Amino acid sequence: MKLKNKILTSLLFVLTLFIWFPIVMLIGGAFMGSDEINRNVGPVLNQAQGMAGWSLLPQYPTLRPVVELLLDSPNFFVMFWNSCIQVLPVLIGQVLISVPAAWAFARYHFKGKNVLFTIYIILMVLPFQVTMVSSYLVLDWLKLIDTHLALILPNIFSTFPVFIMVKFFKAIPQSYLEAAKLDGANEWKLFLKIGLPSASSGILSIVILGFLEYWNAIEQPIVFLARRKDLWPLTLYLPDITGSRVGVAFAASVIIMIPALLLFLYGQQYLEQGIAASGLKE
Amino acid sequence: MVISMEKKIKKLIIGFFIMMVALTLLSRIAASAMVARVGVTTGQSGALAYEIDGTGVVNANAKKYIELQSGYEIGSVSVKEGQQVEKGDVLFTYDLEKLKEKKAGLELELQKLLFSYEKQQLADMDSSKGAEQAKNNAEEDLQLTQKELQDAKQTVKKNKEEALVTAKTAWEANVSSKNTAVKAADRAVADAEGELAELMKQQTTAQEVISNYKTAVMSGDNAAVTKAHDAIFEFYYDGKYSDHLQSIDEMKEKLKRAQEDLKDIQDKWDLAIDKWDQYSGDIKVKQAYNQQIMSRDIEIKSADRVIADIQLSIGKLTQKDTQLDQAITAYSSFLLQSITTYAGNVYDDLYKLLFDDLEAYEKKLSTAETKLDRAKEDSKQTTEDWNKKVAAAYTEVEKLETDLKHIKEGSYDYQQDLQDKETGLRAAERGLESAELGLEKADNTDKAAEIDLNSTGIDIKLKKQEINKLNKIIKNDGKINSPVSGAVQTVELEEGLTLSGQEKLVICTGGYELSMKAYKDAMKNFATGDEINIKTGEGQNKLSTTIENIEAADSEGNVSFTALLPEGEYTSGASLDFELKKNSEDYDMCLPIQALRQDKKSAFILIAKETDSVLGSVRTAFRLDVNVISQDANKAAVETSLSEEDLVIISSSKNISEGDRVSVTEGE
Repeated sequence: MKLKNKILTSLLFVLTLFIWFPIVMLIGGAFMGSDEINRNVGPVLNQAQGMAGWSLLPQYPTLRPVVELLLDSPNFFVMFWNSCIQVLPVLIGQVLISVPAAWAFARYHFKGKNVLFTIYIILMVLPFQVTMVSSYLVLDWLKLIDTHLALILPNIFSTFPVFIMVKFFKAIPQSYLEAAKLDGANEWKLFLKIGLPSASSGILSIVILGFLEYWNAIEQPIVFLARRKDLWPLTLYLPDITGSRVGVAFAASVIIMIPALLLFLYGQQYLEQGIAASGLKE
Repeated sequence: MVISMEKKIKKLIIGFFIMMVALTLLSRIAASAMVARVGVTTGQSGALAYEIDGTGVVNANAKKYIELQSGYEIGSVSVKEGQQVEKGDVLFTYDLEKLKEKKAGLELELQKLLFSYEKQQLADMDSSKGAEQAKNNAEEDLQLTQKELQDAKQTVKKNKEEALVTAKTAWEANVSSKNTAVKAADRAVADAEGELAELMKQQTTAQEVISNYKTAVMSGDNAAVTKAHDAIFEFYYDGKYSDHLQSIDEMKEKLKRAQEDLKDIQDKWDLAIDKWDQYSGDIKVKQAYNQQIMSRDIEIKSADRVIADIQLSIGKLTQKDTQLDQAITAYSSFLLQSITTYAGNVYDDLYKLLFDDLEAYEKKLSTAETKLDRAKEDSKQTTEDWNKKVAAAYTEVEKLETDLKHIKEGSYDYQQDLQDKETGLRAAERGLESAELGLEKADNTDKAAEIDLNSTGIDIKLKKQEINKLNKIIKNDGKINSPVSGAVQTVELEEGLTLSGQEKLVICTGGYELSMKAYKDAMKNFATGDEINIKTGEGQNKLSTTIENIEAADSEGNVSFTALLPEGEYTSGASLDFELKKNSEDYDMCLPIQALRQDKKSAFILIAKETDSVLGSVRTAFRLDVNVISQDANKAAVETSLSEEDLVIISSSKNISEGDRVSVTEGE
């Protein structure tokens, strides 16, 4: 039995290597000199003779790509802060809008609630490409195209966080709320003193899920900020890089990964709860 | 454990963002320090100024090079090498026939050029005139539309004023009509109310008289009872009870009389008739008796009938009285017996009797009530309807007054009224813009056309000069005279030779010439006959002469050229400074020499082009290949696709190449 377990574990470990390989390649590439990179991927990027290859660890490690990125690429930082400007207000806005909305869906009975919630779910499952043209036309009518608000405003009113928070709020026992009511708590207090603390992990999970989604968004910035390169977020930095700066691209990928990774590690347990609550996986 | 890990990660996140802020600043500073600061200029049209300075050597025995026209044919040669000639002597003669043929050919070419010039002029004029006309028309249209709009505004005001007067009249008419209609409706209500009140009054009075009777009975006052009793009758007969009684008395009197009449008749016939006659044997007597009896019976029957009629009338007259009396008595009895439970029925019987047809009366009452209700409803409806009409009319008046007030203050929104006109105005504005664009385009076309025109103009000028020169020669019968006196040194002409431009006819004048040298590239802009300034001595004295001869370049690329010195005192072998100056034709695009760059491929310039990048709007160096037409010491005339707005880089704080980000230094 033990042997069987060991074999199974080893097999799974080998499988995980396939997942780890791109990350190892990324980190290795970030510390590789341009000659070595060109030797490895030149046949792909520069139409050089031969076949492309890769060594897991750099033969002659160098910090040059990282230094070039961090000290000689002001574009990278402009895009980094653009990403921050486009993501942080969305997260704050989502918490302010979706949490009370979800409380209303979970706690109150009103006419048309089910219909409204169904519409929410339909909106949630529609991919961006479906709503892209209509969104563009509305944003253009509001004169928001080519501004940060073109990304911020629609995302603040995203339906996904409402969906998650409803699940969290519904999980609060009714008897608990009734007991609080008997003790004299009004609706506002119920929301602030019981609803919010009980669903804090849900709030954190929507923040983390939201961050991962918008930090990695590509289609929206490409469509809504097409004419304003100075507003582009970090996700559009890599497509902008030429074959001669592949090392910088690897270094940039590593840096782009850091905040998402740190936030994921910070809120891993909340994120798991959030995914469990939504029943979805991004 | 988890909390501690979370804290660590939180610190890492904060640290990461602090690091990104610091690196942002650093990268910005580094980028700012590394960007090249460049001086720029714009390309301009203009002429180049060619200049050559140098020193020449004075030579004795100056040589005059006789101008020979390339392509002409020599008719005869009058001089030989070594022959002495005086100024004005014939040196050689061109073939006159050939000269005339050439002249005819040249004149034809000149004519063609003139036509071409005229055609270009017309085309140029047409295009600019057409565009100018289109612009003028568009401006006129715009002015007209603006005027129409202005007029329309005035019309709007006038219309509003007229509409206000009409609306006020309508409002006043409505108010007046409302008053009339309301008054009529109110009157109908009042009539219905009067009618109902009248009917109600009967009811009330009936109840009152019965009530009074009850009071009288209950009081036990007989006089009062009688009075109340009479009052009931009085009510029934509508105040004419005494007339009724009188009628009864009269009837009774009539009855009495009729009864008396009957008795008189009976008595009369009793006296007249002899009972025994019925037994008489005389038939006549018997017949007379029977006749009397029959007459008596008829008279009695007639009298009886009168009495019966009167009695019937009396019965009729007193029937109601009797019924009333019975009802009153019954009511009185019930009242006196205090049988209140039955009083209701007795009361009702009495009450019913007071009205001939209670049902009809009650129906009338109900009808009157309905009529009143309807009249009230009608009145209310009429008032509401008219109030609405009046309010609507007043709103219209108020709206018009407000509009006029806004028009007076200039804050009126004409959008609704002038939508059509404004659409027209916008169309006219667009028309003008389009015409201006057309004009601009025509201007650009004009510039190109102007260049073509100038070029043709130059050709015409040259052709005319050549024809003039030819005319002079023809006028002189093709003879060419010596411009100077001296010895003929070289004659490379012979009869029938068509000049190729390489032949020479040189005369040694015996005077002095200045022999000079210059590099071929600098010298290529000059030709024989160009003016040359020569400095003589220490002072600033200058002599002006022309280039006499330019030799071919030697192996080092130097070109020798000479100029005859005017008469004066010179020392052979002495050095004199010279200065050659000449302005070129106008070029469309001239750039400073510093702007020109050269690589293996071609000459090029770098322009500071504004591009949208992630860092916002930045300037980057952009390569533009150029073809250098000509250049002087400072400027170069170039052919390129450069526009007058492009900033051409002429200096840089660093070595720059295409694609580098640059910062344009202000004030350059």
